[in-house]
Amino acid sequence: MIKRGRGISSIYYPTGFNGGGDPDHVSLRLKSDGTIDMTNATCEMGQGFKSVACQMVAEALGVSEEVINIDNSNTDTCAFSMDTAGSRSTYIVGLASINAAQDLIKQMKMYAAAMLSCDISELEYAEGKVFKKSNTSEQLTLAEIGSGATYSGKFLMGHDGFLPPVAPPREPGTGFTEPSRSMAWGASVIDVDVDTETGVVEVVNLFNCYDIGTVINPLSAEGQVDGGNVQGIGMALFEDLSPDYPVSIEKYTSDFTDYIIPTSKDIPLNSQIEFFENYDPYGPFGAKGCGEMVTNTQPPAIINAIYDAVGVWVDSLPATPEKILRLLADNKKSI
Amino acid sequence: MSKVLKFVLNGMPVKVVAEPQETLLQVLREKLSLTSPKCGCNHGDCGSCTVILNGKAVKSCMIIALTVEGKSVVTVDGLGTDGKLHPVQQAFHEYGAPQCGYCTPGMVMAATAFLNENPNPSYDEVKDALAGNLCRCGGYQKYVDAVMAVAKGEFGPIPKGSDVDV
Amino acid sequence: MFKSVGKRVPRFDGIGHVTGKTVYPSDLSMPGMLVCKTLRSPYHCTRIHFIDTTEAEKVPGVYSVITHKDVPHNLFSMVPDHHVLAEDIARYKGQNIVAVAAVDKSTALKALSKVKIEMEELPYVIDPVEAMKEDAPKVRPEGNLRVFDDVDTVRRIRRGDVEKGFAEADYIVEGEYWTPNQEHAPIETTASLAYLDGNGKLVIHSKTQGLYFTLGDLSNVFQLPLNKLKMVGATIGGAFGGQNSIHTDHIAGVLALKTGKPVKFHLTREEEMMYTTIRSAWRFKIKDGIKKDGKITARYVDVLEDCGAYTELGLYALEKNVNYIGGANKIENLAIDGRLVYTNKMPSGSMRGFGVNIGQYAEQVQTDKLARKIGISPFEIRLNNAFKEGDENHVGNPLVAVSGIETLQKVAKMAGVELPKEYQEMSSK
Repeated sequence: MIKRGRGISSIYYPTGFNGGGDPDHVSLRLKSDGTIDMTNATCEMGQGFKSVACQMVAEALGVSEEVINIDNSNTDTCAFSMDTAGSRSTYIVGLASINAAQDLIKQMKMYAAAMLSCDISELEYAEGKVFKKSNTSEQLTLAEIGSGATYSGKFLMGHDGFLPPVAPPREPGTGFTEPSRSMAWGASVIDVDVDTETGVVEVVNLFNCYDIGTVINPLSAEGQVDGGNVQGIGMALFEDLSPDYPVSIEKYTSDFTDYIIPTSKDIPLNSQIEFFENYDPYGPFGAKGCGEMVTNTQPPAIINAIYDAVGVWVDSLPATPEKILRLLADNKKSI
Repeated sequence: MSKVLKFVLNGMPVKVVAEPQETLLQVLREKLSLTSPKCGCNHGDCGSCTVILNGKAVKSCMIIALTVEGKSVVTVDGLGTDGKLHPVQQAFHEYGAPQCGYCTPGMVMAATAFLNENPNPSYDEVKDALAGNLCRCGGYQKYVDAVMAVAKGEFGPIPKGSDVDV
Repeated sequence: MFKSVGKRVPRFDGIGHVTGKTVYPSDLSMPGMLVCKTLRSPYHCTRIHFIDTTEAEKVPGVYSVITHKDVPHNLFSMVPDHHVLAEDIARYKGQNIVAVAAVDKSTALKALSKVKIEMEELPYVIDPVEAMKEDAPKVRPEGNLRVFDDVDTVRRIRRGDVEKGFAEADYIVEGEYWTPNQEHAPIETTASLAYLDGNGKLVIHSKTQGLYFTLGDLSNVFQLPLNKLKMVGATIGGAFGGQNSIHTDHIAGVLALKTGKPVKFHLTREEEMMYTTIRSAWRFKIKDGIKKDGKITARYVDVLEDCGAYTELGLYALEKNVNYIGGANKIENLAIDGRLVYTNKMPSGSMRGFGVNIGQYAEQVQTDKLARKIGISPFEIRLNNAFKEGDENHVGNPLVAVSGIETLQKVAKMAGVELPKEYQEMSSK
């Protein structure tokens, strides 16, 4: 018999390294045609970092993201990045980008002050132009500044970093400290069908609401959540390297025939995502971390839904058909 | 014993020395330096090495190279015409389906071969068609949606002819 | 409000992905490139008495055969207690012992078969509960339990008075939860291509997810200044935390330094699955006190992390876990005892949700048990206990931009759940 159940979960997740203190640097080099080369050695491993980084620099400079090119490829020429981990990149590279953009604007103003024969305090920067406050038609574009500076031997490169505050040493007795200034929040409602004859669980409906602060790029954020759903389903239902653990690990999976990760057939029939954009006062443009939290709400919600459907608690992951059938049999015996 | 293998790769004749135990994937990657088919498992599990062999999607790590003698092999490099992306490629890009992108060339080939056989698929048929291509980033939702969009014609007609069929 | 922020900008490198032009570390090759293969520990715990590589070195096409003696500094990882190549004891099955660089894979494997190695299987322990016992086989010389702050094998969090909280409760609910050993399983397996450039700089094309994170560790392994070592990569076929640990860069680098030739070390799927870092197994025992009105009066959590044979990122995971295992609920009386246990398994790496999501599974399932015990809806118990703006979390971390209540309200609406009016009107503010 197929039985349907519904489960929920509600969590929060820190942004950045545990205890802070994980800096990043960004450099922004103005080229002779007014385009900008950004460097930062955060890795692009599918999360969509490069687009998001370009968007944040573009926003900080009031230009189109197409003006920005990013190089993250190596440690000889790219600005420092602590690591690509801990849901930190958007947040920390974003804040470093804002600081670097301010530095570039300052340098462009200094150059423009000489060109326009005025004091730097008389100038303002907006949307790719430096202009006189008193007469906005006296202006220089990024391309004009870029070409002028380049060929007069001035190197205009904005650079800066950002360091999330280092947590105070934790109190030894209580463990009190401040591991992260910014937290993301999330909740899921999941409906599953449990086949009581085979023990197979299928995720039918999956509703997620996540607060990752301002969503810098909805397309890649949705991709992160889609992937989170899939990995969350894998963790809840399939994935186990050593099914006999902790008794032994002699039976150990070594390929995708034995180690089951979800396929296209395992995605929910109906999946919906909404973001609750609660502006983070510390984050870049109000953003918080996203990458990890979005794969964390699914496993508990699925396990709670299984209980709702068939009345058994799966207290050890994953909820394989075998485990479900054994629990159902135990349940029957005890009744 | 090694042998000279001749086949058609992305519309062009190629000649390469292959060993009897070598797979098509090895020949493509190691002998012809064509690295778009990926090697994620070498067991036929993951699908990242998918290419189109005489019109059918196959896992090239499971094909003995010498068996493709005289046949046509199309990799993702052979898709697209006149500098334009194939509708499947365009759709995947616009839908934001690839994440790390490692499974993408295989996914493009699986979807392309499938749409050639079944131009008007149901949602479930698309999910079935891509089930042999693992994506650990878990981007299946957007891949499936993008294939449905191509089937509905949102990305223009699918080019027929030598670039895919033989 | 924003112009570029909030736009659905397509992936920066998306065209490269759909055309197959994106180049990943595993795609790379160089003229004259050698292939690396390693001899791995066949037992869960192996004493190595003696290694003789003479015959292996004689195999035609072999350029170098190395043991730990060839590694400039043999310790690596975030907590540097892991060996690049095993010394007297290999502490988990699959640990690298000898590495070969040869003209091709079959030559490298042939050379490995000629390595003379005298070794002995030692007693081992896999079960973390067993490993805590006094008479358990010793996984690490310093003991099977990690010592925190130089004094205690328990990492404690204490807030309020749990005993008082349990006394105030109408019900006590207890649960025990296990999470399994899990593999990151990126579709691209780990790969390194290491070579010396014309001026003697060591360049490593790496699948690492932190170029600088790895750079610092490797500069120590190779004993090279940062201007003599360059990491290249940053476009990789999935990581999910698995590439925060070094699996191939160190060995490929040492072999490139030894041979002066490009060396590629590309793991097979089997090696990736069986011998690299994992999301290690955890056990949580939770005891909660709850009142009939749904207020959680006290929570005690006993956390046990199976860290494997080396610390790698397991310590960081435990630190993070205990900070968040209390859940997104205001609980005034809370006690957490965390233990990190070493066993003879692959070391614990980081994996997406690192240290936190395994706890959230336990805590969120436990929360549903509480709701069912007192007969209120799973929404109500969470909304009743949710953190609010300006609260501090269980370790004193101030909370801003709090949305526990709002995300629950919104997801309820999406799922067609009509919450009672008082819950619809709740707010984190």
